[in-house]
Amino acid sequence: MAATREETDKMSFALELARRANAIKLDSAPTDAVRAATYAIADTLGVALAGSTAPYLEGLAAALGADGRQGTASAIGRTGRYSVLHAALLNGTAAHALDFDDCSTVMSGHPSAPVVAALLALAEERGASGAAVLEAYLAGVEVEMHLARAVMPHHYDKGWHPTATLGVFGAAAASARLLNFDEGRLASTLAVAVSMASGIKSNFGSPVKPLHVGQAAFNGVLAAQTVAHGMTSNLAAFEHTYGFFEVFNGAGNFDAERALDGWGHRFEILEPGIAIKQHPCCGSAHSAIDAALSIRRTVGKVDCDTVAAIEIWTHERRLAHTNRPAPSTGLEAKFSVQFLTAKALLAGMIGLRDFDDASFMTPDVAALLPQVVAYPHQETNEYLGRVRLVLRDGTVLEHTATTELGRNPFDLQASGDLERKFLDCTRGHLAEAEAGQLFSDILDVQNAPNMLHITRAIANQKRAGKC
Amino acid sequence: MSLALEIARRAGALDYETFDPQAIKWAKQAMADMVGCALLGANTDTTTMAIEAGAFPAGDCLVLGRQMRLGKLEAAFVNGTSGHALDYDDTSKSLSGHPTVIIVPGLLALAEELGSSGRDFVDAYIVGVETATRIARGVNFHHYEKGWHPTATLGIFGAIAAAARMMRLSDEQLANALCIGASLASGVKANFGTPVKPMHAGLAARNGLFAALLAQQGFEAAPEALEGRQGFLDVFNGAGNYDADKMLTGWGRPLDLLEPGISIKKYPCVYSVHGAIDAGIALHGSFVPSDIEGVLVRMHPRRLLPHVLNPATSALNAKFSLSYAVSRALVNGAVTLDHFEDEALHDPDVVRIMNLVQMKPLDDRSNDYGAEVSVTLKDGSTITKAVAAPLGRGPEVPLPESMLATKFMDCAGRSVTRQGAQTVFDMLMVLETLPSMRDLTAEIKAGTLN
Repeated sequence: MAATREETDKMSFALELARRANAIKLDSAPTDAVRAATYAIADTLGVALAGSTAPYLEGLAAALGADGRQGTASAIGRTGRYSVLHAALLNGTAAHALDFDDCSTVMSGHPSAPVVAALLALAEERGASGAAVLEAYLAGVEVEMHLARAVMPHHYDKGWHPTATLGVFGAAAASARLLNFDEGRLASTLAVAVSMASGIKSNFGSPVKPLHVGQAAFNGVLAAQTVAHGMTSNLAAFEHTYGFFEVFNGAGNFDAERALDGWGHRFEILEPGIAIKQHPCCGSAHSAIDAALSIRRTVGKVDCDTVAAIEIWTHERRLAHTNRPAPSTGLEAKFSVQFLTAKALLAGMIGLRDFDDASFMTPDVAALLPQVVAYPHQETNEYLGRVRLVLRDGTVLEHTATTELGRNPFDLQASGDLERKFLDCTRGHLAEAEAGQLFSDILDVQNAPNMLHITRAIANQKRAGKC
Repeated sequence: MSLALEIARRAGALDYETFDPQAIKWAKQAMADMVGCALLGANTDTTTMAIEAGAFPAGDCLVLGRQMRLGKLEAAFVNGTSGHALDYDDTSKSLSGHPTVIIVPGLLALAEELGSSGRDFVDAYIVGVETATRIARGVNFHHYEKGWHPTATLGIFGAIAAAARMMRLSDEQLANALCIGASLASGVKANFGTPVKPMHAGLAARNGLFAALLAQQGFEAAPEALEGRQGFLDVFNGAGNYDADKMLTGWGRPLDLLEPGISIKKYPCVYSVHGAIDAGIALHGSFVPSDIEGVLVRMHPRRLLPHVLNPATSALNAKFSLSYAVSRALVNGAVTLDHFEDEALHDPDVVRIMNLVQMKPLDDRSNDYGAEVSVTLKDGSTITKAVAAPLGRGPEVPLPESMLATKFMDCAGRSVTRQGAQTVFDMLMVLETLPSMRDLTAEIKAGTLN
């Protein structure tokens, strides 16, 4: 499939990319790629439901004029009906609201959120099958991650937010696949999306960051829908002097060829794969948390009275912003490696509801915190974390873990942690039995004739009657 | 103080009471022109595509030229797209783009909802243009040359400031909205020449209004999203390629609308031939077309680019053909939309004269957009008309209202009854006296043909 450089110079990049994206078929994709996609979709939907109650989402819906009164799609965690575009925007923002969605080191971002947000909205209207959604998801994620190979790391370092500026192509490609576009129209869709890519990192730390993802999903769907109605675009929009590569990255700061390599025999979603975030807190503390969880699995319950000391080592660059021996707010607790390690040892997991300002400091953690000390290390592996638990009887338990952004979806599913996270995320929205049913429905999405049972379950019926 | 707040303070300090009457006049002309362009663009495939692709729910805001009302953001998107569909709308030198088509759609949607007065509309528009062009002064022309489409990527800030003004947001809220806008700005020139270009205008109009509405809801951006690390200036222009101080000086003294001003296109063809058309129209009537034996057009050599030198053979290249445009002006005393439809290209008088046209550079190289047309008649006499600059190009050569009216009727007549178009134009010319902008949109809707 790989063309020579000379051939691709003559070809349209968008068309080359579209050809590869359209060649992805569920039947011929590796089973593991399909499994990874399924797990990622389940995780994204759970995280999005949890994120759907972020307070600023009401303001977003009001600004959009999305009152739930008309439309062909439901939106995650919301009552009523929405236009597909509004649903995509609301879904995408919710999916990234907690920054708890899956990650890719290749993309320096979050591959699933923009793609799943777009697909869920569109699939409902189209009556698409679960298999079609999975196939479109795989194509979308492969497109954005391959594009990342062409523009990273410069793209990120310069200040673009790749989850949005590359995610829009994932959303566009996935939408195009769901609309059964031929490669010409898929290429047009990608070229339209070049004109819609946006989102800069100076807005990190504000709700505009998740909004970027909502916009990426919105724009991806819009790009595909305009092409469905006859929109034409410049098929050279990526490689043009005033196109995506030159304008967003600049001459010398990209290698378009890399985005076209490696299709067909290697799936980005498997190699290097995606990481699912297990803990709803700062990623720099995840290694210490995982080390603590291993110790807890070894000793069973930890009793505060038996602990003499807890020592933690994380990389100096990771510790710099997580060294908070006595956090005073829920948000600070999310950035306290001491709090998080103690919590993991005592509770056996870090949950979404562990960070309420009023209740985050439980008595057992408060009792343990004075015994917890964190030290910096300077080892090559920045994500290496070590925890040593010293008990009063002289027992010493030590464990080292290395967690880059998250865990691979297969391990997470095998250990039951994928479902545990899903249940934690959906608590308060769905009864546990409903949540369990929804989780298994999503895992079986490949066999679903349509997505209605999923989109309806994940829309909030409790907030009905507003209008 | 953050850059966004510095900008917002300046926008907030602008005061309608102090605006030069000439600026108000230009504002009304530009807005009338944009409404005309949107009524023209309403019937294009591009606009139909924008409407159908969105599958938008119904709402309260008029889609210009259609019997259709959509939500605020959706109406802004469609009206922005149709306003730029034929690239016939006004231009700003500071912006290197089209200022009005990004600002008016969002304002119109808001004004319908709020029942705003015409005076508030003019006020908000002027604030929008001033904000977009002052920001543009800090990033152009690198911004344009790099490949961004400033109509969209800078115009969005004008749309934000205008909407914020109309909603009476505080300076702090406007600053926040500008910072949200920094994350919504998009549009590259690679898609010029395709219908994606007018859609840039629609998206920027929608995104600008969206940012202002989000700010009104208390949706928070990072305060230093413009000037901060990995902020708008850094990412879109890059270090060394902008001057933030330039954004903060000279606000309203005079308004950018007056210096360097905006240009209103009078003819539906490439700008570089407009001076020659003016000269041709001035000559029209001094002879019968059949007496013409030779035509010599002189323009600045920079305007005599290869694409204007060819005679017209298709509806598309006629828009770039100097000889076609001048011949039309000489024969008809006007150059209108009809003249660029296929059958018009075969008009025997025009075709004969078109093939007589010769082109030479002007001796006076200082005059960028000047033109001179000399017609030689059968009796051997020669008549010459020179123009220094096309009418409507900047504040020195304001467009006579009659010419604006001609263009408006030509454009609006494509989707509104003649009588309706005349009423709407008259209202636009006294916009600042309208008690409610709803009166204007009601009139447009009442006259809309389909």
